[in-house]
Amino acid sequence: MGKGKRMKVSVENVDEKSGLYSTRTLRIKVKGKTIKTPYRAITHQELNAKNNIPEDVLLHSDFSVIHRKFTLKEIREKVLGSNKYLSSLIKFLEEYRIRMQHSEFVLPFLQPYESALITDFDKEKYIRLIVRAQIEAGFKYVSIPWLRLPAREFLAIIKKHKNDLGGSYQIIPVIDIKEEPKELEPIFRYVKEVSTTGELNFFGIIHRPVREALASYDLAWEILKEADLCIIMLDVKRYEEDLNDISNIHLNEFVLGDVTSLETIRIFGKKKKKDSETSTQKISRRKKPIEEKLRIFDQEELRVPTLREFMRSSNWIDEISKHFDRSKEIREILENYKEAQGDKEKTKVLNAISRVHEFLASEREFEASREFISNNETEDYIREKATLLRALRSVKGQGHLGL
Amino acid sequence: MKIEKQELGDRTRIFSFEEARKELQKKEKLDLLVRDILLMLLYARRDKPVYGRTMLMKQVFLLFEEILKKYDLKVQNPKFVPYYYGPYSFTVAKVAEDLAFAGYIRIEGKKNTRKERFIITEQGIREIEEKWKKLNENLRNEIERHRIAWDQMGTDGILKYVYTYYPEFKEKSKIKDKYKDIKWGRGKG
Repeated sequence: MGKGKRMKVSVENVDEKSGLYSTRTLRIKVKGKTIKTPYRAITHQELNAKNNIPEDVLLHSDFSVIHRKFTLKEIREKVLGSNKYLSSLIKFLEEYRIRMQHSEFVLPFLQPYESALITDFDKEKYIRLIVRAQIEAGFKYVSIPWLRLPAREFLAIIKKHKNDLGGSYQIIPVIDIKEEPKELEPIFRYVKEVSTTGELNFFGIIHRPVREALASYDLAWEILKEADLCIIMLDVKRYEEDLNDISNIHLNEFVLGDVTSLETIRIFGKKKKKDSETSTQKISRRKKPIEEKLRIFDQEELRVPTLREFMRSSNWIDEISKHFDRSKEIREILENYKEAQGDKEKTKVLNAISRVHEFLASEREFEASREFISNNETEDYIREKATLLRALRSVKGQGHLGL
Repeated sequence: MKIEKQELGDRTRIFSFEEARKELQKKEKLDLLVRDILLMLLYARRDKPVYGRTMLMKQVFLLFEEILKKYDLKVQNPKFVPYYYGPYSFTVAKVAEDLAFAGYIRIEGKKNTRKERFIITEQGIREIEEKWKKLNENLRNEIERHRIAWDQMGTDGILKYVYTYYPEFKEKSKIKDKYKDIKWGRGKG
């Protein structure tokens, strides 16, 4: 890689309106081509969704993200102490690196769950092993997870790994935007400074709803908006119920982040019965209609409503199936969607269709919005999207567009 | 000595030299041979290898079944038969080895693992480039797009896809029970 010799990140345009939106476009030059942001990355789970249908449509993305999260138990008993587990982790990373080989950037993130960071464990050792696993799996971009270490300690670790790994690798420090601004400021200033040398091109930020980290979002934007550094927003929840089911990945485009990647979810066996649940609640949870359970991305509105709501449009089946190569089979599945009620395998297929459809439709929408931002016409774009406008007013303050 | 006509399991017929010569004279000229299909698949994304023999075999199968058949081309039939991991062509397997022996492709990594890599060489690129350029532009785009899309699926994904849409090829499969058959439009699966 040679300290950024093969890639160059530069800010193309910053477009902001106090109290309403903050966004920018980057130009990333790599191997003779230019990639423009904002951009939606593909996650390893979205790639798996394609197989669960199964469907062979191309999910194009220049950024691929493998995001694996660990519980405290896994860290203590497996990551820090089991050769077998680390070996299977390397195999897991390697498999996705191969499947994602056509993306320009394949970025691994191995982050503990937030709950795992409450208790102490050997954090330096965790980072050492996680970095080693990424290198063994053949990655050139190596992430340094956020472990809630004090800024001074975290920066020392970043510097150490940056120097130890040398020019063949590039590190991606990760922070959680929920941390207090005073902890994050030295890190923001450091990554901005190093980005000028080309030694650091990516910076990972774990996403949180804006209202949970208002001051940190504000600080990050102020320090990094002119930085030639690609910000990867990680673990972005699919939709925000409090904001009329707005697609968070599209909302985030006007808050912070150049590349956004959807939340990855791990399922840990069967859910334990909640003691506090009444029998009526248990029944209602079990019998929730498929139309309520399944959500579909609405490209026009930038929302992720329930299937019941999405179905109000008479051509909803066309709207989804048109994105697929095997549209005939997808139509047949959607026409018989009710069969998924109480059928796990069929529900899995419908969920997979919903995820793949969202990726394809959302990627197209990013192509459109990028042009508006690039041309300083962000406001025009937002004006066309009523839900987005309302959500931005809510999270960024009380800006008005005269509507 | 006169050799009796023989037929192999994949319906390949064996002729004596004289019979073969007569048959060849009768045959019409093909636009694409199996060797061309294989080289084109690798050429479509020449900087990236295809990982694993199973993956290579299934990609040639899908290229033949789902793409080339849509175009007005005379293509050599790779004669896929149901085998241990779904559709398999003895011709494709032999052609891959021959292309490697002749220096048109490189095979790297541990054999018969998912890390075994099939890469087109400079010699292979020179060999197929002209033929590739003569292909219909839509076909070229389709091959390029699908090569990436199939690679994205991984070996398990492409097997599931092939078993779902070509169930007739899974009768001999060692792993046919691994992939559940889900039928829609008939009540629960």
